[in-house]
Amino acid sequence: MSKFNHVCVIDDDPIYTYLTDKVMKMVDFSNHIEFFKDGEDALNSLKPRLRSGRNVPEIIFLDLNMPIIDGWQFLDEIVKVNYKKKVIIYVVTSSIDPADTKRAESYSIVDKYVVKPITPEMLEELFADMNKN
Amino acid sequence: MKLKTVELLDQLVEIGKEIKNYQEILGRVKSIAKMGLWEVNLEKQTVFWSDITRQIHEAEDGYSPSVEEGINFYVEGESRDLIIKVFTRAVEKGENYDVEVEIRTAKGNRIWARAIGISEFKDGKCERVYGLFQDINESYIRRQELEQQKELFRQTFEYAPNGMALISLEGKWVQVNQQVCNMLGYTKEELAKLTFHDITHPEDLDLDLKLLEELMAGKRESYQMEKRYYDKYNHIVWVLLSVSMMKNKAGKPLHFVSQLTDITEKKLLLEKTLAQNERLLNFAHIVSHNLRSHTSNFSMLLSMMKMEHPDTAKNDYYPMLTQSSDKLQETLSYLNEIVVMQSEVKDNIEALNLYEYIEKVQVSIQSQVTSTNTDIINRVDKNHFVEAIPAYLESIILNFLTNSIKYRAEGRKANINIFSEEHPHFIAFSVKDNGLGIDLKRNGKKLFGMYKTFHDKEDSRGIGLFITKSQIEALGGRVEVESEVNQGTTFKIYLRNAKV
Repeated sequence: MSKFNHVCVIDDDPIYTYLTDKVMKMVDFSNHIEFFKDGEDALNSLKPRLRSGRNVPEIIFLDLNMPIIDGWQFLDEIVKVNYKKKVIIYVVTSSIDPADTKRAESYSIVDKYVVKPITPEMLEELFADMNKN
Repeated sequence: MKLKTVELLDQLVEIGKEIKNYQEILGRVKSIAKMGLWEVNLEKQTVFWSDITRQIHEAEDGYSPSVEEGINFYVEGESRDLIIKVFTRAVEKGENYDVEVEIRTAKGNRIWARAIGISEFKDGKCERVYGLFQDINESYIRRQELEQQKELFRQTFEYAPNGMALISLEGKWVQVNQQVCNMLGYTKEELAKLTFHDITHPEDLDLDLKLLEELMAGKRESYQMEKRYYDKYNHIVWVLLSVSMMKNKAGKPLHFVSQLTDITEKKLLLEKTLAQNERLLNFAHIVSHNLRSHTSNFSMLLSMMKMEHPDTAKNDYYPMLTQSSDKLQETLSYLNEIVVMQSEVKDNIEALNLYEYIEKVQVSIQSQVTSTNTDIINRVDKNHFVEAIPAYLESIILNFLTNSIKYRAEGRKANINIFSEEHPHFIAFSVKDNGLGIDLKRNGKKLFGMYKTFHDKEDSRGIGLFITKSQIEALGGRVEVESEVNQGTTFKIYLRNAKV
C-alpha cells in the first residue's frame, strides 16, 4: 500500500518532474501523483477543489521559480482560499538562498522548506516526520 | 540814561546767567563724553589740564605736567611719534590735528584716547596750542574687535575648504567665495546676476524651497540637503547644501548663509557601487537558483541511474562523474555562502567570549590534535568578548587551528600559541604556529584567494582561508598575516570588541 493516496507536484523543470515521478514510485510514495508545469495551471485546477474539499491532494510539492505564476504568487493566492480540508504544502526548491528560506517561513501554510535534489531517503524521512506529528 | 544803564546791567546779568547755563551744559556734555580740555602755553612753557583730562590720565587732583611730562604719557613708539609729529606741525605750520593715540596713565594702565589740537598764532608766531582730550578706549577696543571679527569672517568665508555663499531673500547670490565659483564654473559677477532657482535641478527645487520657507517661518534653525545644480556648462553638480539664516536684532530675516560641499564624485562612485552590488546580487541569485537547479538534477540523475541500472555505476567514468557533480554542488554552496554572508550578519551578532570558543573548538578537533601530537596553548584573556555570529566564530577558529595543524613541519613538535590583546574598538587574537610557513613575497597577495594553495599537501583546499577571511570581514573585522618559511605563521585576527 502506498504511503499517500494523492500528492501534487508543481514544477516547470521536466527533468526534475521526470525524476521525482521515478523516485516517488520507487519508494511507493503515493497512489496518484499529479503534476503541474506552472503555478497558474495549478491554481486553476486546485482552487475549486480546495473550496469544495473534494479531490484535494494530501501534499503539495511547490517549486519557487516558475514562469507565469511563481511559487510565491501561488502561495499568496492559495492563502486567500477558504478551503475545507487542510493540505500540507512543502516548498521544494533548488534555492539555497537564506532569504528564500526566511520568506517561506513567513507563510504559515508552508509546512516545510526542502532543498533539491529529492532522494528516496528524503521522502522516507518526510513520511516518518509526518507520522510523528 | 540811568535807566538804560540799569537795563543794560540787567541784560548783562541775564547774558551772564545764560553763559553759565551753557557752560554747565558744556561741562556735562564733556563729562558724559569723557572729554577734557588742555592747553600748552608756549610762551610761558606751562601746561593746563582740565579735571577730566586729568582723570583720563588717572593723575592726582591738581596735577599739571610739564610739556615733556605731558608727552611722556604717550606710549613710546607709534603713539608718541605721532603726537610729537602732529604737535610740531601745529606749532610750526599751524596745522590742527585730530588723532587716536594710546597713553599710559599715571597708574600704568594703557588706554586709547582721541587728541584734538588747535594752534593759535600771534604775529606769525605760535603762542599756544589747545584742544580736547577724550577717552575712547572702550569704543576703540570694540571697534578693533569688530575689525578683527570682520577679518576673521572674511578669511573664513574666502578660504573655507567648501563653498560659502550669502544668498538674498530673493535667492540672489549676493556674495560667494572662490570655491563656489570653481564648483559651478561661473565668475562671481556672473553668479551675482543669477538666483539659485536658475541653476537648481528642477527635481530638487521644490524640496529646497519648502525647507527655505520653514527656515523663514522660524520652524527650523537650519537645513541640510543633497541637491543638484547645473554648472555653467550645463553639467550636473551634486552638492551637500547646508543653509542657515541671518536675522537682524528685531528678528527680521536679512539673508541666507549657504555652505556647499561638492559631492559629485562621491555620488558617482556610490552609483557605480550600487550598480555593481546589484550585479553581484543578480549573480548570487543566478548561482543559488538557476545553476543550482541544474546541479541538483545532475546529482539526482546520477543516483537514479545507479539505482535503475547498477551496471552503469561500474563504468570507470561513473565515480568521476559523481565526484564532479558533488564538487560542483559544494562550490556553489560556498559561493552562495559568501554572497549571503553580509546580509546574514546584521541580525545575528552576539557578544561571545573568545577564550571559551577556542576551548570549544579545541574539543571538537581533539582527535586531530592528539594524533598529530600538537600542543595548543590558549592564552587568550578570559575577559575578552567579541562581536560575532557563533557559527562564524567557530568556523574562523576552526579554520586557523586546522590550518596550523595541516601545515605543521615534519621533524619538530607542532605547537600553536593563541593570545589576545585589547584595542579601543577591536580584540585582536593571534594564532601562532611553528609550521611550514608561507613565502609571503611570492604568495602574499593570493593568500586569501579562492582555491589558492601553497603546499602540495593532498587535502589542501584554498576555500578555507577564503571563506574565513570573508566571514571576518562580514563581522567588520580584518586579518593580518606574518610568516617565515620553515619558521611558522602567525595569523592576527581583529574582531569588534563587544565591550565598546
